[in-house]
Amino acid sequence: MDADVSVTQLLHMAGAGDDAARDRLWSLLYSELHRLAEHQMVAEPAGQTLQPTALIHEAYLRLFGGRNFDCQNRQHFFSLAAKVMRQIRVDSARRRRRAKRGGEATREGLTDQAAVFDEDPIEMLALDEALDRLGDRDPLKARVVELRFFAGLSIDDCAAALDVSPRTVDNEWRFARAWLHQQIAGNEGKA
Amino acid sequence: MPGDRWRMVQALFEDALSRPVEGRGAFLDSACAADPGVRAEVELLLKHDSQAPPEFLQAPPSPLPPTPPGDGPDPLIGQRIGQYEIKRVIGSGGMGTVYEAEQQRPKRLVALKVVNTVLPNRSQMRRFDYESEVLARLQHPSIAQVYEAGTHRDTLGRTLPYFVMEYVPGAQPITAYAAKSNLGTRERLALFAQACEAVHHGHLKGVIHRDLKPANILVNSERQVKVIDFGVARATDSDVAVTTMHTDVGSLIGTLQYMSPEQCEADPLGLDVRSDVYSLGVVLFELLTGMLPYCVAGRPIPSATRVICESQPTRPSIIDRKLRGDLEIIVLTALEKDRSKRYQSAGGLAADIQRYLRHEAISAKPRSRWTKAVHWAGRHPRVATAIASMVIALGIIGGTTLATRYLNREPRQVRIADDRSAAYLVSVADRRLHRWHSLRDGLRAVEDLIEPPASAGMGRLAIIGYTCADTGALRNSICAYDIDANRDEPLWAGAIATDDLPPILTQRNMTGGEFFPDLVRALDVFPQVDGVEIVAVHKHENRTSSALRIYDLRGEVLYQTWLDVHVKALYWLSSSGQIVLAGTNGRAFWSERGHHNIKTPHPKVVFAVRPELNFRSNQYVVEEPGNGPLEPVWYRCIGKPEACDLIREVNFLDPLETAHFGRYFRLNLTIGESEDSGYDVLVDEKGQEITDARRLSQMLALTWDRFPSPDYLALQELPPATVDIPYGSAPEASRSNPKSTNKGQ
Repeated sequence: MDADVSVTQLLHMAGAGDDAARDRLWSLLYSELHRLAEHQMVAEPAGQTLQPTALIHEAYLRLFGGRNFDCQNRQHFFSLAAKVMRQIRVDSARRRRRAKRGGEATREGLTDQAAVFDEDPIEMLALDEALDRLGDRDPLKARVVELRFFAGLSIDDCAAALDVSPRTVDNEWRFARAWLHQQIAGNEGKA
Repeated sequence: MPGDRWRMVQALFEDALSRPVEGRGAFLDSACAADPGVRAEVELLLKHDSQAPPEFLQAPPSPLPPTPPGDGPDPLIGQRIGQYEIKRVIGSGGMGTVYEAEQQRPKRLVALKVVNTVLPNRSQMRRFDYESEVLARLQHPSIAQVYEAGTHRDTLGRTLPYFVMEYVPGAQPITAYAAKSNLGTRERLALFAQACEAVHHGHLKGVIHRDLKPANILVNSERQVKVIDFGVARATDSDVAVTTMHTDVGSLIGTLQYMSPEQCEADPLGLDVRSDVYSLGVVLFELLTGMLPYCVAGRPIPSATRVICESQPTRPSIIDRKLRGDLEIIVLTALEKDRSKRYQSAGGLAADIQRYLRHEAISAKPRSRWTKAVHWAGRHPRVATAIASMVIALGIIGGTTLATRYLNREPRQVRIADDRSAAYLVSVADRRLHRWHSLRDGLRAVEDLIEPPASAGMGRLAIIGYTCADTGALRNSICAYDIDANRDEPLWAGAIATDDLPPILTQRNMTGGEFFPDLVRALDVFPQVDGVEIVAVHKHENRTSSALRIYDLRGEVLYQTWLDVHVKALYWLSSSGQIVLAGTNGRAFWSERGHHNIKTPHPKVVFAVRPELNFRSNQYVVEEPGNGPLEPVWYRCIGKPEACDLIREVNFLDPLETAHFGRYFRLNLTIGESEDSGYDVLVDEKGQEITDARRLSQMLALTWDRFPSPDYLALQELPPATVDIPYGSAPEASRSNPKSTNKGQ
């Protein structure tokens, strides 16, 4: 791919289904958000948790320079950013789990400190897996969870990003949450 | 089918949830009579829905949307929060709601402010506790005492922080109090000095207020100042922008007025006590004059922050002559953009006020001359201010009415329709806000939203050129529309008058009305003039003669010369102040320059002029030196005579290396029949080609066999003028070349 393609064009192309563009955009977003997460940790006193909305917002400004998008591209951006945030947390959980088991002592960075994500890495990985299964059955619910939980969007903002009504988001969220809890904490019964 | 079952389970789940718990069993009994398996699934989900702890899959902190008005009484009234019983709502704003509450021990009335931010986890709560402790230690007669801070779990399971503060009976904002009680200047100053002492006390304890405005400087029924909301913004959320995200644009602009320039900038760490001094300065200004120092009403937020950061405040003495002298100096010192020039503490500000009241000399020095408004370098560079970025964030998040309103109403660009019969002003969300129309092909030149400097006192401009196809009143004019004020009537319209024409043209009975705006660009040509200028080429309908004009933002013609070139492209070399123009020369030719011959193809030329301010002439820029302001800086032909008809288009491009920006340009030539054939040349500000930087496109290589060498496209010096024949006159028979097929003119 031509090196001169701008990030904005990447977003367009990714939205149109260009996988190479999407991969490229993914790695850009990943490195940007990861870096920003580390910076946020440095700037705040110890013990703070991440504010994903702020991160995504800042990554957006840095990558696209404050340029405003039309609806569709906005939706794509947010969906992608939410997925990237999810990946960052999952990757971090994997590393922490390895560290707990006495694996490499190397720390990948501040995002690996347990307090940052405030959760047990095992739970996060279980959530990730359950979310995958949810996505197989019902993509909309999985996206709602990604946007709400990993990207930190409010119900209204989710609705805009998904182009559905807030009521739908609320219903989907509630159901998804119950289902995921059942998958992770409850019996593994069919659902 | 599994999909149907899934949906059915969900529908039952939602339905069951909408019923009271007791009725669910019966509902499921009847709804799932046929399929007990489904019932089991639904019940399992319901169980997990209620059992999952709030921390499970909890969304990170986000501001609560404001309760829409008329939604019934505030749910907290009558409730207890800690040992406080909520009585009634005192007021509410973007940050939260203030209630009157009754404390049990000791029994007294307090003000309880519930803040609009959710703190779900322990680390944020710890931080909140710490900051509240600091606030509780602020004890000063003019600071509303914070007694306690805590968190409360509401009915939705959200954790809300609250502050319990001293109740200020009969409290009014300082400006309202002064107006109601008809206070004179000295009394107002005395009250204001109390506020400064309070803020200073906070500073000594290490707390910056960050949100000083009249609403936070209250006066009670005993004329005692009580400053409230000290550092509250900090205690609940480190990012001020987040807490204000859901406020109404109107109240946000209201808060903006009191924010210091550094607060408007991106760096919240750059805040110190002097930001509070600035905000106090704004309050003082308002107390003394009844007005605010900047006019930002009706401006979009990014524009408003720019006004605050860059333009000079109105002088109080202009509003009220009695404020001339020391008092004005005090106000303006507090309002200095440069922090180092303000009072370095609120105590310093209070001290000067006291000196003034005692008729002593003040410490602040008057500024010798207020500097003019900042010189505007074209479009404003992207500045991610806390506010602007917040608005952008609203734009990308969308969905909230504030964001939608912004996206739909904020102008972004002017676009011309494909058939050039209309130009549209479109919003950030690509909604059409306004349409300027013309006859088909009637709109040619457009320059996008131009930001005037704040001192100009006008909104953003869109420049539209109407050409000869339009037979309306604006035919052949360039019109400037103030899109923030009136989009229908142009602020001014520029056109060529017959008086402007060179004598040679008037002799041929040409009129000004035959010239249409062909090219329009906004450029900062003259540094001495505030803001950008509008450079325009007005071309004759069918001759190559054009007028090169430079207008200021008010439509004054600052420069005018004539060109005998059909200008195709224009470039600005900022470092040497040259306007570079390229096009087809209507006059010069090769065999005998000066002799106009319709059979000889007209060469493409590129040349540069250096405009002078207030030079308005009806003479042509000529190729020969020695004509003063009409002399070009340099003048070249593009290519040898043989290349004349091969060069189809001429264009300017930016140099590829940023180091060359402003001193070099790239000349792009479209060769031959095909669009793909291109030839690029890098040229410096002396008109010299950098031969190493030549680039040929692939297609051209194939057609290259028509040319002996690429030198045929190189820039050439003009051949010497041999015969100077006045434009338009027929060459005499004795002069014409018998071999040529010259038909004369």
